[in-house]
Amino acid sequence: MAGQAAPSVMRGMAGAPTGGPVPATRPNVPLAPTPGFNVNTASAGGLQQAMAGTQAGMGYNPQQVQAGQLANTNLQQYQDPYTKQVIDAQAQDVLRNAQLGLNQLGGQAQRAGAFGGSRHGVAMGEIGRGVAQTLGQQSAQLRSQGFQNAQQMAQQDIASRMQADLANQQAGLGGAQMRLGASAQMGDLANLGFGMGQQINQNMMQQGAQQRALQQQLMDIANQRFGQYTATPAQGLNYLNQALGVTPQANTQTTSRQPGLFDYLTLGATALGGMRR
Amino acid sequence: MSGGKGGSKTTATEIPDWIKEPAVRNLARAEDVQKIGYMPYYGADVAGFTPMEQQAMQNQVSQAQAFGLAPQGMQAMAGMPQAQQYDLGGGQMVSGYTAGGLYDQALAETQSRQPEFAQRYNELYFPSEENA
Repeated sequence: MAGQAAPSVMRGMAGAPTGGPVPATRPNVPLAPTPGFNVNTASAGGLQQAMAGTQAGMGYNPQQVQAGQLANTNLQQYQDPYTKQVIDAQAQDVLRNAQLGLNQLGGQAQRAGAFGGSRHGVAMGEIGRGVAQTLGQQSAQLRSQGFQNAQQMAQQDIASRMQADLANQQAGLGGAQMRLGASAQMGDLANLGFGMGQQINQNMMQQGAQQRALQQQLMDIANQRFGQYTATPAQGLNYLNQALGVTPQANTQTTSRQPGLFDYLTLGATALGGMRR
Repeated sequence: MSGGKGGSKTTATEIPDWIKEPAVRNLARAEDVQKIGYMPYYGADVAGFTPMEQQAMQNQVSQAQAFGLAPQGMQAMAGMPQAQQYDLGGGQMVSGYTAGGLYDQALAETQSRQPEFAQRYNELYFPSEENA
């Protein structure tokens, strides 16, 4: 099944190298603009993702750690499964040695003609008491050692589990902080993209306005020249009026006299005087 | 003018013909000129938005759409009049608007609302036969 799990991992990592030598150029680090990229949609999407990431970070609950207790631990699983065999083996050794002692005691008693006597019985009882005592002490000691060993192993496991839980808790906190930082960076990038889009658009608008101003200037000049065309006849009149205004008035003044009654009487008297002479 | 006992003396100033004739012609020409009415400019008045400006405006709309502040499918130039193409000569075109149509409408509206004034106005330049 491992062969089937691998593709899902590869799909999840989206182009990440699956092993082996790292290629010289990473396919997931584009140096050229992605076709179809739109800074507006990227900015808006980045903002939404940053908000979602921040919201998720706000609701993060760290992993709870609880200390283990020896009292709640089943120590049976830490017991040496061969304790009984060890005790049995030691008991057999003790019994075997006790049997040898009894045999020697019986031989000594037989040679002394006291076999089966009271003294032989007392001596056998002493051997039996010692064997029982030895068996009890050895068994108790082995079981006590096994219990103590089980406690130590359980405490080590509890400590190891606590250490692992704390490490996982820290890893979780670190991951949450990393995701929160990534969300903040996403928000910064979204804001950066928004500003870039605005700046580029303002530049485009400014360039377009310059182009339009040039065309407007052409139209204004055309309008101005049309006004000059329609005003030309009146302007021509002004030219002549101005010329007449600065021309010296070379007027010719003529004076005529209309004779009156006295003039006619004077003329008549003069005429009569001439006739008398 | 002076005279005595019923007589009189008259002094007259005569303008030379080389001045009088151009003045007379200028007056006649002035009368002709003042008969010409207003000739409005019907060429392009206002330059239209350039493709660069239109794209920038559409980008603004796109940005607003991306942030949910404008409906999808919105066009930046929607509602704006279509600019006319004017020939600059040599196959070069320039887009723009003229106010000539609006002027004609305003003039027609004035003639409709104030026909007497408009008639008097027009007869200054286009006198009817009975008034000529």
